[in-house]
Amino acid sequence: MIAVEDLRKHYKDVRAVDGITLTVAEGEVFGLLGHNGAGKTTTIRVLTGRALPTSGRASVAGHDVATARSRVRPLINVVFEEQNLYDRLSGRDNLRFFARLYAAREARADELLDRVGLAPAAKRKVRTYSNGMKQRLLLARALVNSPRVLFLDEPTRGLDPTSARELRDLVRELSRGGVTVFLTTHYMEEADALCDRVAFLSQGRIVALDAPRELKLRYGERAARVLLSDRTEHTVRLDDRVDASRIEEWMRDGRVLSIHSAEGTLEDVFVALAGRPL
Amino acid sequence: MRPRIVAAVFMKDFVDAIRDSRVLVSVLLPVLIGVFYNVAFPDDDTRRLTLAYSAADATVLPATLQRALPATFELTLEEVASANEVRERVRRDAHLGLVVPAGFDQAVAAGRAPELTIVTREEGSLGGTVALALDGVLRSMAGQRPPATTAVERVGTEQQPPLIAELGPRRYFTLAAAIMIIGFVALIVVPIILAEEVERRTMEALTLVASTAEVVAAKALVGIAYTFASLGLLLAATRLSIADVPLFLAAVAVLTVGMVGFGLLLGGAFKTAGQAYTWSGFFLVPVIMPPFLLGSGLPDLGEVALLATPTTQATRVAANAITGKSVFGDVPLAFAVIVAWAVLAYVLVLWRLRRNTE
Repeated sequence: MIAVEDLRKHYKDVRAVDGITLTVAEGEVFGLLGHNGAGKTTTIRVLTGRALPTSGRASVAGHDVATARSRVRPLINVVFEEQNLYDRLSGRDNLRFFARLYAAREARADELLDRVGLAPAAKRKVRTYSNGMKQRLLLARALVNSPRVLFLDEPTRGLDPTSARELRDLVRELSRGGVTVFLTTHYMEEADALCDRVAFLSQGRIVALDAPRELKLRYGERAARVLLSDRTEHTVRLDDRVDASRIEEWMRDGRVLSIHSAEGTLEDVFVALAGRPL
Repeated sequence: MRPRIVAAVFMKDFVDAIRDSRVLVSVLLPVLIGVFYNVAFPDDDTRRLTLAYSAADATVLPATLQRALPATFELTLEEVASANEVRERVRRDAHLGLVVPAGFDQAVAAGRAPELTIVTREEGSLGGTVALALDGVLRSMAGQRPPATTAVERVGTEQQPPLIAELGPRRYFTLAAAIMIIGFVALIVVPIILAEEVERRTMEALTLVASTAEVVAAKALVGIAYTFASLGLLLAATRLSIADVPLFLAAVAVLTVGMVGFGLLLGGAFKTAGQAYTWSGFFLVPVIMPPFLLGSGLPDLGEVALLATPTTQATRVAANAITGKSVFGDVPLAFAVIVAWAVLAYVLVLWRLRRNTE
């Protein structure tokens, strides 16, 4: 659904995106992770036709984003990092306005408000909405044209855990419905839980790209945390036979209270690859 | 350019922008100023006078005098009982008094030259002016023709007359308010609504489906619509009579379109609506001031500079339209100047749009 080949976007001397190559399959949730300034938002800007690439190629649903923008635009939509809503208008009027722009049915506004749980607040001015409500409205707005590809730029930034979870559930639901989701996030746990595959972006380049589990296995250390009856906790490296044999010994002595997996997190992988945490 | 998109953005802005207090103030303030001027400077030329008279028997003289006066004189007739009472009324507040002897009308008609006493206040008073009209009235009552037919002819002076002298204060200040409306909406409201779209990043969401040119076109239409709504309000509130409505509308429309173009340029230069609101005022002064300096004795170079501004030329055309006279000549040249500025504004807007797209 998305194909990117050696894409570069330079602003004078700044190489915001410096030769990335990736593909995203239909219905996949793909995460782009990186520090501020790593090139995540620029990548989304190019893929959504809002910035022209310096070189390389990118296509969405087979249409080149640089030369066939008018064909790409009806197929995509974006949840922006900023809550860019018309706050003097009601939630419903915001959606109706965009429904008119996309030549969608006006009733679509109410359907979407219902879907994101904002129907009771439909007539309220957006400036009275909480952050979580605004974020859900942004998602609803991005669905007005029933996009095949949805770009989400830091969709849960600044949200409380409940609102973030609700939003992630909505994204999963969309993915199950066949929508391809391309998201950027700072939250490793979110990427781990939500994304089928992730790419780590550092200084405009992809330093790793795979399913979260594969990345953790490849770059993380296989280990287990063992809690013994004397309340001491031990981390055992599973790849070290001598170390691993201690578990067997503790089991034999009946001293083991619990064993937990202590495999590396995505963040550990990111630090290992990018040099510093997000 | 897709009309559906432009119409959707226009409708949204037309309803939404006025909810912004800055926009509301900028749209209504010049209208309110115009209404205030209208009340403060009534250019009602009608002069109201009272004529007290006593007549021993029936006479048509007072009524004939009343009819003979120009429309700008409103003569109220007051019949009193005696000559002394006439004098008393004039002493008190009547502008003119007549003591009409018995059989006056018949005596005039017979050419017997009856004596008519005219009671006025000091020389040069309004009543004295009216008394001068008596001669003609008496001649007509005697069945005589005027000794000569007079015609008044005006010649232009070398220097342009001040606009206020031509229009009268009420119409002058109403026209000033109309120009102010165009300036306020074009140079404050339009930049605010454009800059706000950029500031709140809603422009990014818009340009996913609309082109920047479509958004800018919609903003221009909002500016034009607000201007005409405000002008309509002003004209309705002040009941300004316009002798040549098409000419007035043409001048206002061309000026509005051009000024809105400059407003779009300003809007593109500001990052926030707050900046636009704060700084646009500086651009407003050179736009709304020049027309009213016309004929104020500026040196030649200053006069040429004034005539090069679109607002001066639009004001000259509007003054012609309001009065129905050719107060200022060269209407085609005036339109050429206004259109040239409008073309310049939109060439610059298109250049900026193209640069943004690249």
